[in-house]
Amino acid sequence: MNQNKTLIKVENVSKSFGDIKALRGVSMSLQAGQVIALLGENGAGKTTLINHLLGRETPDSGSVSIAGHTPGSYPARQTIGAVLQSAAMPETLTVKEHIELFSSYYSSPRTLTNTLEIAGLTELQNRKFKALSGGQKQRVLFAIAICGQPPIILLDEPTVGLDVQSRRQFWQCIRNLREQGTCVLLTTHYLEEADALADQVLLLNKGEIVHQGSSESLKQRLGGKRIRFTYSDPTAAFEHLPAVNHVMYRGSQIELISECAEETATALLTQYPTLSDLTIEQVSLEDAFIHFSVKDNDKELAA
Amino acid sequence: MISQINSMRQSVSLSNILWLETRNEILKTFRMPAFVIPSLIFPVMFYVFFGVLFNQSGADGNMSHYLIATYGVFGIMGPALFSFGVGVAVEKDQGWFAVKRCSPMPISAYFISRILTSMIFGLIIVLELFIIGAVFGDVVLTRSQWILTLVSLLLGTLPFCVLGLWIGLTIKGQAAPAIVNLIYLPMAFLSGLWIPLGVFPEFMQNVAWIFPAFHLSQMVLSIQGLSLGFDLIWHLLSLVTMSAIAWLLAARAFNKHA
Amino acid sequence: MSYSKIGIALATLLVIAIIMLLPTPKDNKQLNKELLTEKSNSFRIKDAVWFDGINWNKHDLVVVNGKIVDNSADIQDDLLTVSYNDKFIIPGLIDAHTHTWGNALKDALSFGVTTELDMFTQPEVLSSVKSQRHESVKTDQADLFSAGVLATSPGGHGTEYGFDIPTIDHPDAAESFVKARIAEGSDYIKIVYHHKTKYGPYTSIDFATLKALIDAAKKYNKLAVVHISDYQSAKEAVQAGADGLVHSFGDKEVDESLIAQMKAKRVFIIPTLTMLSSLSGIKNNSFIVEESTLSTVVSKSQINQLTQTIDASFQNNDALEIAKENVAKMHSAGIKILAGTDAPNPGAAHGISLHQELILLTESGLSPNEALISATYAAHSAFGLKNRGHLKPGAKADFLILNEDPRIKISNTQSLSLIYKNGYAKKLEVKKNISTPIQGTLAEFTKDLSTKTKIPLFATSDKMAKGNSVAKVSWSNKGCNQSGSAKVSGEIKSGFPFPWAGAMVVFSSDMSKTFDFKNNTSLDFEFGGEAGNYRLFIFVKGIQRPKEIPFELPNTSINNCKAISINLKDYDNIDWSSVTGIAWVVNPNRGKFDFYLDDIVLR
Repeated sequence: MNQNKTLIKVENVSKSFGDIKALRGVSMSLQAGQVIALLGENGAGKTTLINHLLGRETPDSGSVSIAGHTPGSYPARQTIGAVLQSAAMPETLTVKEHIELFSSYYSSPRTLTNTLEIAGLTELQNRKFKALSGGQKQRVLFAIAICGQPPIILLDEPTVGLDVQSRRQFWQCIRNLREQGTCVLLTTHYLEEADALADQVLLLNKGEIVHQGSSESLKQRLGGKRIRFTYSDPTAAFEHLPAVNHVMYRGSQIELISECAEETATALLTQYPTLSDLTIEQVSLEDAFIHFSVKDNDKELAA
Repeated sequence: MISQINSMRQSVSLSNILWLETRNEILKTFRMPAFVIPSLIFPVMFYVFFGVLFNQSGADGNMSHYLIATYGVFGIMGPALFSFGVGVAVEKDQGWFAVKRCSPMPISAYFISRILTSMIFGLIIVLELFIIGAVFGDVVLTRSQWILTLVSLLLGTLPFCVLGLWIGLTIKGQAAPAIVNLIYLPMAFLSGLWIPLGVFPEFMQNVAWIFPAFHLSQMVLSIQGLSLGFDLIWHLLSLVTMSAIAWLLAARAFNKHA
Repeated sequence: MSYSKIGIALATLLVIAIIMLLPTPKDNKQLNKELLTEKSNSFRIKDAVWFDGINWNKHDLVVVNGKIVDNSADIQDDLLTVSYNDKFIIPGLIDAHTHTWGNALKDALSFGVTTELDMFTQPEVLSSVKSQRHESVKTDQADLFSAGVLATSPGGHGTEYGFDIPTIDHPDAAESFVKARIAEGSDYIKIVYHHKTKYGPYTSIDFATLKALIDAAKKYNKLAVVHISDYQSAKEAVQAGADGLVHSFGDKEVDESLIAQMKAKRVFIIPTLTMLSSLSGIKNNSFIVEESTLSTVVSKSQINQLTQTIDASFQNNDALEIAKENVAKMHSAGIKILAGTDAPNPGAAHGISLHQELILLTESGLSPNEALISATYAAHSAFGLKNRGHLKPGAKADFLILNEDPRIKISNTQSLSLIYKNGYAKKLEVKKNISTPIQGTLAEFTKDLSTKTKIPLFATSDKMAKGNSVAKVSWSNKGCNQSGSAKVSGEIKSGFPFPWAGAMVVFSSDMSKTFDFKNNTSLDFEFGGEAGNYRLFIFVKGIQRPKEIPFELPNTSINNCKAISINLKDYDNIDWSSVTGIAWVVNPNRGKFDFYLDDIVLR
């Protein structure tokens, strides 16, 4: 297998809907065997980019090519399997019936058993779609995207709205797929998801790619958890705690940003046992985007 | 991977796609009793009321013959309009239409399977009518009249499929059932499908010319010599023209969603 | 997928099977309750109005296994019950004078004649069908009683048909002749007699032989009936002791002495007036009521049969009238009259002609009811037919369902709707109605509103569709050509979406009959009235709304009609091959109107 074969090539694509610039000069490429996560806020242009790859939108300028074919053309559609956002399937058909039909569209589909295995649906194959849980439904959509054994899989926010367990099950499906050498492009706004699955992360903000690199590098730049707690002594300082990047004081409300929440929390609880209301949460992408945007503005100013 | 991509040039089995697509379409539809039962029963029920039970007068005692043709048209219209009008509108709104469009499904398979399903539905309804008409309505036709009536009714689903497709691509899924009924029922009545056109005032008889159901019913009625007597070519031309216009409108709506 | 394929194959077979099982005009698998009696000959007719051959009854008519059963007797309750409300039931008709060849018995039954009394046929015919009359099986043939070979002299009437029959020329041979006939299965002895031993091309046995034959028949308990064709022969036959005369005579009026003798000796007569009509050169097809159900059963060949006449060289033209008077006199003297046709002689056809004979009998002084008796109870009693002609318990369930009351008009026997033979219903075999071409004058209105279609011109307006317009048609001695015309007046009033008013001609009262205008070029008529636009309505079979043909009347005085000619070829959207009626109506915007219509001609 030629790992360097470029399957998706996006060059300088811009797209506007009226006054809204959905994409601004986006360029990217995707090689066989890669898993790429496209990160971004709602409205950042992730779905617009996916739609361009599927041929559902045509760029105002720039070009998109899928293994050398025009997006949306028949060979391009044979090359891509996609899970679109918020699609509902006909409810009265069984999992198996859906997969059988979609497999017939492709020239070298997976066996039914294989598809069911990857999507973790073996036990559910004779269930009607309406009798499935949200996570199971999402896996059926995933199954019909992969059943044709296409070299590229596009997943547009595949785990949105799923509970933790369902999400983890879904991740397992994607890992199964990666093991088989398929290249995957997924959009998400969960950093955690990108971290769990992707070799490469693209960060999209307001239609622009603001960061491209390994998930590690992003994690380093963005990374960390927000630790909040209440501490009554207004004179206490927390900057010295391990892995802490940033501290904010709002009266008795303290907020720390830590690169390694476990390390920081252990030290925190040892040194300040009287604190209360401790919460640890992911740094929101919003914070990250603000971070990058500010930097961009700086660049602009500098230029 | 390269070899895989190249192997995609291999042709897929179109007949297999068509078979599975149609099978799924039929299973999907027949597993919705709320749709199936009324569709299969209403035309026959109306026929029993107007063609058998209250068949005292009118049409020179040919009422049960007349109505077997017109309720046949009524019967085949329903599945075609609903499968395309409501079915496509709902799948379009649910994003399912988009999923299929992004897959390498031949778009023709999507439409042909729906047409075949509508025809199978129509076939069941028409056979029901035939049996009821023959057993309780004393309808006697020559073998060729029976067969010709059946075949022309089945072919007659096509204009309504096209009309339904245009409606389905144009309107919202939630509004679809109401809008399709709003077209289906008045058109059936004003085309003389429930009671013969002859009892309508003249201007209403003229209004009937704008409805495809009227033209199809006249063609089917002519098999038994019960039509109003206009040359068949006018009805055929009208049907073809109306279908072509609906087709163009549907194609425009389709490209909007592509 | 293989299961699916089997499923699809089965479904396809089912569809084909359903299509193949659908009724076509040939098979009559309709589950009409009445028609269950096509399959079962046990049933009860609820509250039937029925004639038993003597009296009219109104109570249940019960049939079990093809036989009439006393309706008060204990009968199982699960008997199939049918009802013929507003219908009239009469016994199956008996034609007392026929000759059995070919399809005779089938034809007879299809017109409601359930028993034929044959007056000469070959003995082989007799033996082959005789057993049927004892059975109660489903059949499409009438039952047969027969004289077998008739008794005639060598060279006498009966020998002219091209096959050898035994003859008799001496009284001594009489007994052995009669025995031979009985051995062949003859039910009665028929003798041909003329008072001259040589008449026309024929010879006849002499009086002594006649007498010897009659005596021999009586000895063996058989009826002796005599074919005569004139007064003198009739008189001598009665003197010789004949039980019945199988013709009447038209050469001379019957006198008191013959009537007295016939009455004293209880001699019956089968006048066969149908034959006298044919002998008088009359085409016997005009009696068929145009819109009767029976008219739809007559085939073209039967019509041809009826329109033939017998060469009348040895008959006077008054023969029919005299014969009718003779029948009237005999009838009023109480002599038993039997209906018989002598079918299939020229001018008579099996079955259908008996309906004419009944009309001729009512024209000879019999009431419609008495005419019915002549074809039922009279034959039953005269020939000793135990289980037919009189619907009493034990009799065969041979009866007819009529739409119209035959007591009002004997021609209502032609409103036949269903025939029961041996208790099995038999539907009328409707012959495909072909459009009749029509040419020439349709109506002249010289002395009334009558038209060639036998149904006079009548008024039509949207009133029949609950509109408010009115129309009236009257005959006027003025108008158009001073020789009478139809005057149509009325008023168009709003209240119906497409108002009409005018006058109409139809070709049958229920508009079931069609006429073929294909060979005509124009429809011409005289029309007078207020100048303006009028319309012709052309009614075509199978199409509910008439086709309209507008025409314009130029300024003219109302009594001065204009000739209007409609070129039929200009209206090729009209199916001129099956026209059921024509109407002349004024335009919807007209108020009060008067117009004259005259001389309607198809060219």
